[in-house]
Amino acid sequence: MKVKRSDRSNTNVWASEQLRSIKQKSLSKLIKLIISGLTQLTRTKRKTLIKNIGKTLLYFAKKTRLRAIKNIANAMPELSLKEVSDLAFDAYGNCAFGVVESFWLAEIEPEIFCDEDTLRILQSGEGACIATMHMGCYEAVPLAIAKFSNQSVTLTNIPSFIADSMDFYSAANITAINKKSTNAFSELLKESASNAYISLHCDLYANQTDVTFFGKKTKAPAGIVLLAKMNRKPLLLAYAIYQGDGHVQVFFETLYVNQKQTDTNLSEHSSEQKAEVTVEQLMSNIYQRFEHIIRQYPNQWYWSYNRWKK
Amino acid sequence: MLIQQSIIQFIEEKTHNQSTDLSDHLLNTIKSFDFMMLILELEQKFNLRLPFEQALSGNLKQIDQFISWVEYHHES
Repeated sequence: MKVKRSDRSNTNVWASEQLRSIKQKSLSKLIKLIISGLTQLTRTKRKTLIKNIGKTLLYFAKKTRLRAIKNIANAMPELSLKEVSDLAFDAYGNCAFGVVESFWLAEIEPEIFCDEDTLRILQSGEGACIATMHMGCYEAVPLAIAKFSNQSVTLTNIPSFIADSMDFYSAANITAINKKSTNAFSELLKESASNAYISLHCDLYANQTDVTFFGKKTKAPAGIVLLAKMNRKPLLLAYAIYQGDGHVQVFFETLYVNQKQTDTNLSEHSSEQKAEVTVEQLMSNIYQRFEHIIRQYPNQWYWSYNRWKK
Repeated sequence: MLIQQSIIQFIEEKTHNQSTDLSDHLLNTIKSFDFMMLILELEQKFNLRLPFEQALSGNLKQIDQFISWVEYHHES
């Protein structure tokens, strides 16, 4: 029997889709199995186990390890080589735990710290744009926001076949928009316009705005600032820190509030906010704070990114 | 006309292309980040408020449609 060329190519497409679907289902099941095994352990034991797995992975991932070491040595030249190396492993272990914790987000009870004005913004239901970073538990910031609002929105890199099948974002009352989806940008804009609290990681490299980070010129993603300006929303900064006992603390601070919002929502405002602040100025403020926070908790930031690309 | 010039100039700076086809899809021509910058620039330059959600849906896909839409909001 002869098969026409078009039929054959259709069959190939169908077969490769089937194969991909089978692979995704198997991977999803395997992850579910591992997560259900991990959740049998206490959180402290989970943390120890995952941190050690993370450190082991870094030991074998030469490129990732060297990049972390190089980044730390450039950022903090006062450290000895041993201190740099120890810090790279410790930070990688903490970040591994921070990533895996996404799978049991609903179990985490973050402690939240902020001043009264920031609390008012979080409780107002009028939305805000929140710049966050890859520190401690990566999803702790949207999780903390979900304690105040039903509209906690973030972008995710986790493939939808895993996120959808495991449902961990919706279990924690978070709307996660897939970063790779074609309408991610318009979805974010719509959510922001409808008073959602949008938290985006802004500490990666993106060819958008010039910033100085650890004394070096680099570029950064400015989407969160643009969202805040376009929708006249307050701009906050938030980060999550692991305590020694594994508890997560989430800190929120207000970076910028529009003049109109200042008059109606906040009791006090600085004279600096009377003039229109540019995107570059706000990004510069964000990166000064990021640097300060990372210096305070260097073993909780992910150092292995190619952050200072040339 | 000034709005059209501003938009085309912005697109040409971003794309490094001096011959913008006005029938092209705006969001296929510039990045979403640049689209937001463009909206903010136009709002500031022409002292107007653009309901940008409209620009993301419906019939505002082409550059010329976007220009007409901004001009309409400027006039009203």
